[in-house]
Amino acid sequence: MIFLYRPGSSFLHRMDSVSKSLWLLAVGLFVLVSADWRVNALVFGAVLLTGFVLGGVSPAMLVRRLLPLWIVAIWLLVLFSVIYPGGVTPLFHLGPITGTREGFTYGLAIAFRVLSLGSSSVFFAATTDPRRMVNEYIEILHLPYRAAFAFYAALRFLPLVQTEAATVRNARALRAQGKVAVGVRDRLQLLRSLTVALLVNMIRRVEVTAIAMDSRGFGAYRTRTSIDDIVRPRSGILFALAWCALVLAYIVVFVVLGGHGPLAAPITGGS
Amino acid sequence: MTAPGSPSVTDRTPPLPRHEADAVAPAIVVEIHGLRYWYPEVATPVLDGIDLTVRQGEMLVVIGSSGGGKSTLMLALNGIVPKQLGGRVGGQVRVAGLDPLEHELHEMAAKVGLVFQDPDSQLASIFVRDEVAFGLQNLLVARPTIEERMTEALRFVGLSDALERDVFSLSGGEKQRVAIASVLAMEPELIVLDEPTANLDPNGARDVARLVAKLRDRGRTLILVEHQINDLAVLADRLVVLDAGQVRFDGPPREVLRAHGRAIRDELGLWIPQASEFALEVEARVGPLRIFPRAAAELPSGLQAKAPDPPARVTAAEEAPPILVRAEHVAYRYGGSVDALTDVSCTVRAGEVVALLGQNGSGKSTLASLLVGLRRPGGGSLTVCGHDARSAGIAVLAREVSYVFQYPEHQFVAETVGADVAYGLERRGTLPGEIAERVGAMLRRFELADLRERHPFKLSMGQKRRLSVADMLVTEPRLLILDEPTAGQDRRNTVALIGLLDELRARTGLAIIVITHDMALVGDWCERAIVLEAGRSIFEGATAALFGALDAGTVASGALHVPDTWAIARRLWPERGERVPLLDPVGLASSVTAVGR
Repeated sequence: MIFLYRPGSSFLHRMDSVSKSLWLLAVGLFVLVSADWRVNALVFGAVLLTGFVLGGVSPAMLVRRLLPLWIVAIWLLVLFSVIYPGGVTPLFHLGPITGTREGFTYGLAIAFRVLSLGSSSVFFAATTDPRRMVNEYIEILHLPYRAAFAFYAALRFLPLVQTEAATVRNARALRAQGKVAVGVRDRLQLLRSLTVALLVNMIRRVEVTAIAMDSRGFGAYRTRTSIDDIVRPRSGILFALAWCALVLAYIVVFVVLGGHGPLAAPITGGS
Repeated sequence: MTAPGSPSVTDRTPPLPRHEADAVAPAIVVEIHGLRYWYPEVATPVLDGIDLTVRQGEMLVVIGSSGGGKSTLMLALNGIVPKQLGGRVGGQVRVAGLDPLEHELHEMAAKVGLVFQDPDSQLASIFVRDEVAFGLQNLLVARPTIEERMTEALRFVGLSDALERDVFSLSGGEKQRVAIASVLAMEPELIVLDEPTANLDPNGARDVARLVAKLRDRGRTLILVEHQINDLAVLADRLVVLDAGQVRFDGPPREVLRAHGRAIRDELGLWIPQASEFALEVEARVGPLRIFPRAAAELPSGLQAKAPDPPARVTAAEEAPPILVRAEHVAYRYGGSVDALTDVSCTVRAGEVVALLGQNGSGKSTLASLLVGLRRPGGGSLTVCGHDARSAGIAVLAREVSYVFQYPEHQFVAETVGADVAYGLERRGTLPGEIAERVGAMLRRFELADLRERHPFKLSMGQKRRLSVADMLVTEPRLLILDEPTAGQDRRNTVALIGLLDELRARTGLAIIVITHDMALVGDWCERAIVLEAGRSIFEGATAALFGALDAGTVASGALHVPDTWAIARRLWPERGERVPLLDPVGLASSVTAVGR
């Protein structure tokens, strides 16, 4: 198991990474151009349906992985309810603070936007084998394999960085007898020394990796032999294209012709 | 630098024991003449006139001091030096008929396979399959051939069932075997292994050593760089000793060790096999041995020894130093679900050196983290320097216990050596005058006073290790935990560090827990040992008793083996069974009265 990825045979698992990336982009574009909370809620609902039904991802996993985003979403909802400049219709009172209906609906739009982006990313990561993704980016999109490997190497090193960071933090805690940082200046100094230690160690590791790769002929030719078959189910391509068509239609009908865009005033529930 | 009187040892065209029956000498794979190399912006060459020839099917072991150019020489064999690392180069190198300076790296990649020390850093892929195929894919080898070679290479290293595994799920030894498989798949004419067992636990190291022996038996041309050669000297055809960027000694290990073992150990500060150390002393005291051993298994028959000196009597006052650590049925569970420790009981007394042993994942690091207060025990009772570890946190325990990390860089916090040593005292609120005094004394003691203003990351390996210990001792802890103190250190650095710590121990009653896989260090330095297995303590007692128990099989830990000094003692006093004394090579040799003929 690597990071979020869980092997499986669901529709999303079978879908090729390029089509899935297109779906991810379509979802992102949809909620970014829409400032209508109902549209964003619908997109969020569709994303959840896709992930749970077509991706076989468990709701518990989504809740766990999105926990910080749930908090951010609620915080945004409350914040926009009380600070939204165009708010005129009182909705609730918290002591001297008044939340407005306009602010609340705008907050809802932003919250659903954040949740749609977050959940679609989780579903993408949970159903996409990183190896297959790199191979498909190289083979289908003709991405230079050196660039694809940079991403692959980053994935390879992330766990090492996490482990090393924990060790470095422990070492500092021990040396300071638990009083690691007192005050802002102390914290900055700690951050700097932590970063230096991590950077030095990572540079050392990356140097070894680079030498190990070069000594096995990495970068010798413009292409490499592929040892994986590229499988692109038509249903996956159609699914991604359908989402793209939907987004395009929405942009044309509601944003270009209807005047609703990311900077437009929010559409309230009653309008 | 040929030593007079030993032409066979220093002859640049070495004897070839595995091929001596052949009418025609095997082809030359590596030919180096007058190789000099300067790293960028460094005035002194790290390689200063290397001459070396390696023939097909030979296995060379290369030793030299830390930072002495061993790894640089290996990187020169495929052109990484200077093509990737820059710098200036002189002299001639030919490997498998190609000049690495004239040919592209990928051309050399098909000729020279490199395996590095750190298994985590050298793997470029996430999955075993991709890693083994990596080089072949780069060289545009056809897919059916890749699949064939991948299967064969993994079968050779004993990992046929690991094809679809991700590298994160592999042990250190398995990762190293994958690295070797990825090189083997490319079918190079020369395989270079740069300290391949240095970062591995005993099981991993044993697996890799077996693999090296298998490669050697299959006639592969091998060059191994190592610090500790206890297990390798018997495998190698030649031992090459680097000193000041030159080949100081080169020849069959038996002859090099016999003729120059003392110089290698004492002048160059390098490790030699314990059996060879013993043999050197015996030959100096009693007379030449019929066979000069490279390992205990090669000791000649007919050695006679007087009864060993009885251990010094312990006076009543010395019998019971205070207990600093008392663990009774200690348990700890990570994240509430993963049992790291289930039942650990042990004690550590003031002034003693105790080895904490076990396979990776046996719970050694977890126990250490409980002792310093980074974690609190989940069950049982743990008292550290009089504090209950369940209630006392890091603020209390870290005042009494210091921990020296395996990689010194992890614990450096300041930008100068002096400031780094002062850090712990400043955090305690020690007065500036006292800080200056104690830091100055510590720097002098650890021979770092001249480096006071240098950045810790710019020190040599040995200096970094000394600084890491000085950092932790300046606060005058009662217990010091050393994590793999000999890893990557040559003999000179290790002996100097042990000397300093022993002196402190005698003066202050400092207790030391050594977490290590180095059984020679355990035999030479540690009075007692604690063995953990799967979160349980399965042995606690005198080191000699542990070796006896391992020998007899009553302590069954696959992670541990007895050092050669113990095996030699068993040969000298067979009538004593597992109750032989634990002596260093010199002590053992002083008991020998006749060498037999």
